Amino acid sequence: MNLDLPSILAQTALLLLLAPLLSGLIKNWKAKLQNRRGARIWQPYFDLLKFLRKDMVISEHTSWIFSVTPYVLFLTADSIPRARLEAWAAVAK
Amino acid sequence: MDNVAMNTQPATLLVASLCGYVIGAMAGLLFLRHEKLANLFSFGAAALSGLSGLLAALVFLAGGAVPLPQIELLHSLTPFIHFTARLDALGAFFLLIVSLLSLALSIYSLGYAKGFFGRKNVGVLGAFFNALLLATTVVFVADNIWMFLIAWEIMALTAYCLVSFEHEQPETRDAGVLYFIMSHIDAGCIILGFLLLFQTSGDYGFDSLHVLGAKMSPGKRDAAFILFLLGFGIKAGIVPLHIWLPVAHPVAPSNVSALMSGVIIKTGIYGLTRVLFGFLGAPPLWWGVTVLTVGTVSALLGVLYALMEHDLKRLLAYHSIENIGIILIGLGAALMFLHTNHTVLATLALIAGLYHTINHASFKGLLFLGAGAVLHATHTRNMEEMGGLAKRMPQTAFFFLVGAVAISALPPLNGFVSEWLTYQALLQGFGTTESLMRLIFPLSGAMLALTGALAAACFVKAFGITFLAQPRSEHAAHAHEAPPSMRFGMAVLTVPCVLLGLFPTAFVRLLDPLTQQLTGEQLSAQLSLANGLVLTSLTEKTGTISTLGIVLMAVCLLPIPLALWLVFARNSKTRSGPTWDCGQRGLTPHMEYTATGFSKPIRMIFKALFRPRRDVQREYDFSPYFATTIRFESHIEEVFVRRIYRPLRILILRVSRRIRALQAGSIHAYLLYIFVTLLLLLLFAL
Repeated sequence: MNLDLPSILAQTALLLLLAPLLSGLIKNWKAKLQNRRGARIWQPYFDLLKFLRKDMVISEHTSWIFSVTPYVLFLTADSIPRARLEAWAAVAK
Repeated sequence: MDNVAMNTQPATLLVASLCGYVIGAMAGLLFLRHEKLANLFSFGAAALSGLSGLLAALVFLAGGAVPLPQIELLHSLTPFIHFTARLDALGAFFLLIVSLLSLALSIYSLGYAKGFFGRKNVGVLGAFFNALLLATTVVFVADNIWMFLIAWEIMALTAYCLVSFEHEQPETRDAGVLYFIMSHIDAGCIILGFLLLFQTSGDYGFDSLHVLGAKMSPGKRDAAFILFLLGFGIKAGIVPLHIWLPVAHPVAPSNVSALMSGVIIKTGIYGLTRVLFGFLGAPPLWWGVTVLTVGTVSALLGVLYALMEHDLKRLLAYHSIENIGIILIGLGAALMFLHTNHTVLATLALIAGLYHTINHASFKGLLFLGAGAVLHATHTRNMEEMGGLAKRMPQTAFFFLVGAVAISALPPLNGFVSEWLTYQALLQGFGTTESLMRLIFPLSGAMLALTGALAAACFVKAFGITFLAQPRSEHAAHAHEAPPSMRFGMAVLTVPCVLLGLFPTAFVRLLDPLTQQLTGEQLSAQLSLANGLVLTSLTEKTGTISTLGIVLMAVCLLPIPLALWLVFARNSKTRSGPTWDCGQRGLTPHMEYTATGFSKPIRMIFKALFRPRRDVQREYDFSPYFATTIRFESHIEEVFVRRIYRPLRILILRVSRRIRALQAGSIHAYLLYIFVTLLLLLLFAL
């Protein structure tokens, strides 16, 4: 598989966009199996939007580690799987 | 730059560096009564010498290691014994390590030694510190058995003086004595080993020892191998000869601990590399198997004992044993590949081992400096009394975190690269025909994987318990950030941690002259793909990794969370509030996770090895369920101390007691001894 930089980024973006949908589908099917109607499959997107708008209360016992960690986790979870870099080799060529 | 300049520059810089250490030591002794001047001049001189040595090694290696002229000392004083020194590629690589550490540690010491003002003599500390650095540098450039052994001995003695620097505490004195004994056993083994080599070569120069093994009888060669493995192994701290290491490293001042863990134990690796790959010639299979097994066992046991520790510096000392094990896995695999004539794979394994050597020096140095800063602020080494330090000393916490990520072999820092290379070398050994190798390589690789996971767990514990949550003691609550010079010293060591992680292919190019010298191969071209952006293990098929690529990817993705934040969370507010305490009023540090609690699952899994002794005392009034006080004590004794060293000590004491009867203090008995000895000698002469 020979990828170039734009398609790597597009793939990553697509992965990020579709991840909540998968979670929504699973929750929906689970509800159906338990004879419940369940939430819409789009519900995780609304949840995420709601969470993003919320105020934050950060414990006074935390340090800078606490505020940096979410970003680090987001970036590593997305970039480490792409570390098999035949793709990067292709970019550099 | 013309050839002559290339040739003389490293030599000049090296001599400047050596002279700098001498001046630093003199300055320490000269200003014995002026601690501020002693501090400034001795550590300042050491820092400049370190810089000069660093440049010498870099220029020399980057220039392709063009042979330098031999330097001879004291030519006229000693007609039969020559003290010669010469920088070669292997020596230059280790010179790079010692100089890098010297630069960082000396800057750090400028601030750290202030803690001794009015309490201890800083001049003495500075003098011994410089003398130790000088001796270590000379060990790496010595070109002659005499020069090497004398520098080796001075190194052991100065290190002993530095370990027992705070000799008021009995713990420190005991540790010093143990270190003294062990380092003399190792010197004894090495002297015997060199004597065996000398029997065949008839000359003390290292030149004459080159590939000498081919001329020696197999029995002698094996004996020399065992002696060198014991001797250099004690210095390196391999299991089961490591017992001095977790005792001596913690009690030394922290700058000295960093020097010992970063450089002094590496002299053992240097010696093994020089002797095994340079002098003893084509290795039989069992040498490689022995080194690989010893390395694997050291790595695993080192990390297991580290996990059980709650003394921050002892924990780091046990990790040194683990990392020496990982280095030896690389060297052992290289020996086995040499036996089967796979020189390219041998070179790969050797590169992995040596790469890990410089990596361990940089991150372990950094971690010990961080531990020193913590110790400086809290006056305790016990992790159970720390906590909350990330808030009080955020920069130290950052540097310690960099070191912890590097030692846990997480990308993109340097520990990851060298462990990845080690795995690659081991995995490719699976393709060889030798059945023993096909069995032992995957086993060793699996153990290495277990070691890596446990090391990561251990540093979650070390960082989490020390720096996060609420302070567990008054000292920790009143901790303060380290002074600027100490922070700068730590910053200097984060540079190689990051650079060696991001640009491995550039560094492997520096190792080319070294591998050319030891195995006759140069691999940097084969290991680098895509203009050096991607590191491979020989071919694209066997595996590729790009730490720089991971970082670039992360940078490319960084706009996503920032954009999300800008679009949606712009109007949200951030408040600071108390931690939710489930309605029970008052969270106290007693409710926090402890270091002992964190490692409990592992203690239970490896119960057969640890055999923890626990002692619980509870007092209660009417029912055991309502105890008024509970005292819990847990203690772990190392299996080697229990099974080997304690019985050995008892035996030696018992024999000594018997022998003491000979020295009864009676002059008549002594006269009899002299007479009997004389008779025996006369009989022998007949």
